[in-house]
Amino acid sequence: MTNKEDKKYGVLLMVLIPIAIIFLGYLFSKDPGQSHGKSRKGASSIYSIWLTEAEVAPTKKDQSQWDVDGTAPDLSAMVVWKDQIILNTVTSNDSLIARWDPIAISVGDVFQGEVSTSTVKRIARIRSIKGEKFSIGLFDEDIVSRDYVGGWEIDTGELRTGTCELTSKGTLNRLIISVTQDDNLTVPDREFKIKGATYLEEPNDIMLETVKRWAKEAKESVKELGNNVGEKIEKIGEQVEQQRSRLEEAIKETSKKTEDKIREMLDALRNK
Amino acid sequence: MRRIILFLIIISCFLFGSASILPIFSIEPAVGEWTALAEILSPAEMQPQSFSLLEGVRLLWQENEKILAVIIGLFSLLLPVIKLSVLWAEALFSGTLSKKWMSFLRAVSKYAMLEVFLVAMTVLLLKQMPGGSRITLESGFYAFGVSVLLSLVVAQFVETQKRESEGI
Repeated sequence: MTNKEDKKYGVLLMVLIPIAIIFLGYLFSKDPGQSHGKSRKGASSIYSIWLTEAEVAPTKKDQSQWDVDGTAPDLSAMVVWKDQIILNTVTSNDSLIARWDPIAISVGDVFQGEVSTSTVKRIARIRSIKGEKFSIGLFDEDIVSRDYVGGWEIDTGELRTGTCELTSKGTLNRLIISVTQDDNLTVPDREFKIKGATYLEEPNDIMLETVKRWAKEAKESVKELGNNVGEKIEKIGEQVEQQRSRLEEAIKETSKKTEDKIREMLDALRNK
Repeated sequence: MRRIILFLIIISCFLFGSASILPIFSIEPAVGEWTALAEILSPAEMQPQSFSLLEGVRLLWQENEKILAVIIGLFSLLLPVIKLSVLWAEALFSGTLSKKWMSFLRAVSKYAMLEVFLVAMTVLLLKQMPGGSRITLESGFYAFGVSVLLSLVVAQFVETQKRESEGI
């Protein structure tokens, strides 16, 4: 071998053999390391999502006011995935910029004694599969119905951890979503962009059906409430009538007794 | 003597490879008397977490701490590999390394303990953290420590051999 060949061979040995042994050590410890640390193979594609902020236009699409009394809309949102509603936010009253927290404690749950990590977390869990979509709809809540404001359809495959801002020229000007993994509520300080998101001018079928059902339920509740009130008024009327009859009888009886007493007294006087 | 040096380098390389993937330390987060509440509100964050060298560098890079990721990656991953490779070459072709390579080896050796120092600093800082957060050293730390110590011993042997051969 010449000196040059020796040098080349030496360089190869110098670089490759120690690296090969290092790699061997890496491979040897790879599995225990993963099982000891955070093995997320199964869970890595599940994202926790919640809406952080939504900003709507100062007027409706037809340029009319949001509320008859001139107040800003009462905004709430829903997330739909696999034709199921997986998140309903609380209502942010009278606001053009609504904000939501991933934690909200329901008073009902507290009274029922059912407060747990799952009941306080207001997050949607979505599995990321390329090509599969989920949608977000924003609504203006009225007494008996919800008016659609705007929404987005997003490919689950484009989800990353961090925050994502979606802007449009529609009524829903701006929407910020927060995405984490493993139900972690601390959002990494980074932004990601979703290229394939579509703005929804109209609500999708699930949203529409749900809103209609809610409106129907609300109307029935109001009707039931009206009926109940009527029945109660009727009952109170009957009770009042009964009381009046009793009073009249009592007065009559008392008058009669008084009359009898007076007569007795008069008779006694005459006899004397 | 050469065989012993080569054997020690092989062990050092193997341990270094293991140390790169094994958890170096684990943290058990605590927030004092609020720990129970925090465990209800954010159980994922209150879970004990283990960090390996590679995962740590990857996380730092993802968290946009790119300078720190590069520094740790350079001093705890790249430089030890270069150092072990140079030692291997010197042990294999004893006395053939030029002065330039030897000075490079000395320079690299100085920084090889940096990772151990960083971990020690982290341990020290977290031990004094309020709220009762606990940090425990894991197998990766010991593997890395032994690998670094072995490489230091080998470097000493190599240098002694070099001096002896120059003396002859």
